Amino acid sequence: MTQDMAHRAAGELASRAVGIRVSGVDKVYPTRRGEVHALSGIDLEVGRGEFVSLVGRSGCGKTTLLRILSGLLAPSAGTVEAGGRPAWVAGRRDDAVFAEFGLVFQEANLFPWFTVAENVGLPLKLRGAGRAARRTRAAELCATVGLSGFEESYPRELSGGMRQRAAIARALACDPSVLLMDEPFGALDALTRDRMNLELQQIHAVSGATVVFVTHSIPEAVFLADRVVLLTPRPGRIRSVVPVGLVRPRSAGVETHAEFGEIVAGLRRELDRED
Amino acid sequence: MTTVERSEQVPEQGNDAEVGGARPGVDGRVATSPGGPDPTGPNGESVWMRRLPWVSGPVMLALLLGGWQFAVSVVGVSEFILPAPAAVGSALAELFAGPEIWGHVGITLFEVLAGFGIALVAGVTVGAVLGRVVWLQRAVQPALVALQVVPKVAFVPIFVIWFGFGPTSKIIMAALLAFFPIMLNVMLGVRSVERGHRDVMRGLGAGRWATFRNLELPSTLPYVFAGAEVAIVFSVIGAIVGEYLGGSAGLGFLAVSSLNALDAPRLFAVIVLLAVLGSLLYLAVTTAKRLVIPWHESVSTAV
Repeated sequence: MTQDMAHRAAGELASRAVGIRVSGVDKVYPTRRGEVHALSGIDLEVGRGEFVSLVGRSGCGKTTLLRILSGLLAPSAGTVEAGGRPAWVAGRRDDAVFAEFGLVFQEANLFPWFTVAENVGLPLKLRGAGRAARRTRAAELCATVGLSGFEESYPRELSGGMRQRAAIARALACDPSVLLMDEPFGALDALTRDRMNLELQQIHAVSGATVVFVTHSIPEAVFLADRVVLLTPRPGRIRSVVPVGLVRPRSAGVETHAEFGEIVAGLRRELDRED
Repeated sequence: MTTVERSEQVPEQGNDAEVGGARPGVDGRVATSPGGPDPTGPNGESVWMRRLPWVSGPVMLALLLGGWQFAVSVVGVSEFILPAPAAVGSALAELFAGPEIWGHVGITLFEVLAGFGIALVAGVTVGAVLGRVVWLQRAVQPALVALQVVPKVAFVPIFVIWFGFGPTSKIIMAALLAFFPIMLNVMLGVRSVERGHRDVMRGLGAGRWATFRNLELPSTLPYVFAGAEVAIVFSVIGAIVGEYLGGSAGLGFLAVSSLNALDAPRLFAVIVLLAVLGSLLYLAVTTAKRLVIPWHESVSTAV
């Protein structure tokens, strides 16, 4: 059944422009006890503007995969292309490719010495944008993520959810064509998380960015994604790719739909299946 | 890009589950909530806590002076062992009436500041290098530990032999004492740049200089100041001890010459002066810290 789904998804993809293409990616960590195979033979295509969720148990390599996509970790083998251009060449990253990416981590990772506006404007600062331009853009971005009025606050004055909003605003600063998110709402309480998911869906719709979203919550993955990629550990492999056909925009009520429940249940079964 | 619809309440209303983080305090400042960096600071209490030192300081000073006067006039401690506060006061006035006092203050101040300055530059440089170059740090570790455990004040006679009785030997003593707290803190600071913060800069493709300016420098500054707060006190100690043991000018020399003249009130007056000088220098460092790193927790939760 999953094979069938994967084929359907591949068919759909053929007609779309490719945002990210991962082919044959391996990641091996040397340790004292020998080598650890974190990822093995990962092949994945993410369409331009598509929202893909990566789910799996801890240790399945989903964060490793995202770090490779983010340019923070070199793959041991295989290639990563973004917009048709290779992102990793012989273990060296092509900064020009990664400049198009926006990253959001599990921790907001805001710099405590910068105000919210300065944090949000940091990517622009690194590109040489002037003070006034940064200020204007930061105010726009703060409005986008619902942080208007907090531009001059320091991160320590914000709650966890607000910090994560600021981190998302920072990732959006340079209008990235790809947004990579590593369990961005994992540290938030359930209510805040639901609200952030709704807002992320809207940001995705408005910006048209390609999103790869790592989470360990299957309902969250299904709620957000066009396709859910399920990874299994030791070594990290893609077990199945499940398309989510639920119409957008999705409201919180979608979780009570039969189709939503079926997809979640199907993914749970896949996750629990022993090889 | 349009504004995302916000289903939540306006944060200023303060009862939003998510927003609990920041809300204006009684005095208009934003106070952090429980769970934030300052868990002791719900609004009403923090005002009281902030004012407490301004009340307790004068009270303790009054108690000290009262007890002192009591010991002299009621218990009858000898004038030579413990001169009365009034006698010390008039000795102090006498010192300032004389022509030489500013010269002594100036020399000591110069020695302290020069020593502190050298320690700051050397400490930051060495600390930054050792923090980054791990093998070098391992290599010099034994020497550092040895230097650190040696009572450095014991070097004063050697410095006097090498650099003479002038200010140079005192400056070097002050610098040597002040160097270690700065160097060790900076070494720690350079290493404790958060990994997540580094990921942000790497993800943005930031170069070396941009990473230094925006990340490494600001995240090390709190450590520099933590070291400097200790170091300024140490450099006063270094300069004074230097003057005690081999000086011809400065407040330390003045203290020793008062002792030799068996002039207890003047000795006490010099010590009062040294206490004031040390406090002012410490205050200068903490003020600089407030101005340079206002965002840091140590600034927001202090007094």
